[in-house]
Amino acid sequence: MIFILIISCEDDLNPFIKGEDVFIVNCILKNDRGVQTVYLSKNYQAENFDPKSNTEDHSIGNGFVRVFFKDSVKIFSDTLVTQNIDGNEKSFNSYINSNFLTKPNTEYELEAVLNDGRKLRAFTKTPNKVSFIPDSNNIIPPPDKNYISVGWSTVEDQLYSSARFKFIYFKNENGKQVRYEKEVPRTYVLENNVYVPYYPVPSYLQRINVEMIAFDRAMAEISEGDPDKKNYTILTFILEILVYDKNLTAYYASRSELGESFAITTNESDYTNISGGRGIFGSFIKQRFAVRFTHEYIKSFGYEPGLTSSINE
Amino acid sequence: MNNKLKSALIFCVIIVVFVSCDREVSVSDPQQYETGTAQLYISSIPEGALIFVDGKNYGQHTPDTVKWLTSGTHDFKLKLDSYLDFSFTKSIEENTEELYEHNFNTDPVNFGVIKFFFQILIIVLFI
Repeated sequence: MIFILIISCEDDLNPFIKGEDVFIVNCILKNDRGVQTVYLSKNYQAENFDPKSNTEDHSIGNGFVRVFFKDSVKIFSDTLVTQNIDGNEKSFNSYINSNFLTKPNTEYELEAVLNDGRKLRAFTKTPNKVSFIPDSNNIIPPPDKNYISVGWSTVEDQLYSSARFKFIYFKNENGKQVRYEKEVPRTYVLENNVYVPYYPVPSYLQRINVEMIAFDRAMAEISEGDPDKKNYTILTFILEILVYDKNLTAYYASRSELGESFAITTNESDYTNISGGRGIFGSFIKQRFAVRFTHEYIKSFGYEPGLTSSINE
Repeated sequence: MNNKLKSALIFCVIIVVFVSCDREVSVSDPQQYETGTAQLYISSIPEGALIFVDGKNYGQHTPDTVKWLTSGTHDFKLKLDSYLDFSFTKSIEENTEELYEHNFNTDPVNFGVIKFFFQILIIVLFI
């Protein structure tokens, strides 16, 4: 009897069993370019515990995707896209609208219909524009400190934002001026004799502090190994601020391990705002502000200044 | 008595064996899907009216087929320049293909009365 009791409940547990199909929609609406993309896919069974072990195309074609807002609609075209992923050319379906610029403080509703009529739905509201807090000390390099500190304010303070400094420069390549952008990290840390850049991460903070040594290193890096510094013309310094909607704020908060003491860390797949499926439909607003700089700072690297030194937004 | 006790014991063990393996394994809630399988072909005279379904601009113009409609009652609106908006409600059933036609030109709401007022002046001239 005891033997029967013990073996009667013996049951092989297979973690790789095929489960219910789960459909996934991912889309982040951007305000800085008119091309918006929606990805439709479904869950799949990996060969082992490595998700990349299954190399099949899991994207879904022949669907119908549209985004409603106010009294308008944008319809997305089912498009076969080829991309280089991990060194291999791969083609997959995505849904693209090339004439769709989002506006701040606007509600958008995404509806994705699969070819069997199954509908997945999600909502996002784009954040309001931010206001740049003017500060006469915000000049590169600052006169009385060794870091640049810039603040901004938003209407909704419960949204994540992130900021990054960039500078735009031209390089003379065989007589042709080629435009480049260089991002300035928050700081560089020397690890194993290599300077490792650390970039700002999304957070509730509405201020960015960047050490001048980070600017100095980024400025020096663009011409590393090139003795002809006159080939470089620095056009402008800009501060780029991204404000994320509440869906992306919740997503980033769910992933953050530090900083937000009340946030619970979850796996990526645990956060979704898609009704009828999984994935994320979110939006962000990107704004750019010009930051003042001096000609002397640019000339100290041997570069040419491209614009007048005193630039306001 | 002893046999009765044995039978009862065996019965209890059999129950335990079967019941002990009764279990449900679920790692997530079953997905709730909204599915639209019905179609409505909408045409109008004149053509080119913009189709709204449940208050949303579908980006389609008559004549066209509104696909993937869910079963239930839906509000439709047709908007065409120079005419008043036309709204109708339709009950839709699963897996059906229906037609709807609207003639803006014969719709009485697009007709009105234009009143002209004349004042006749009689002028008598004495020469």
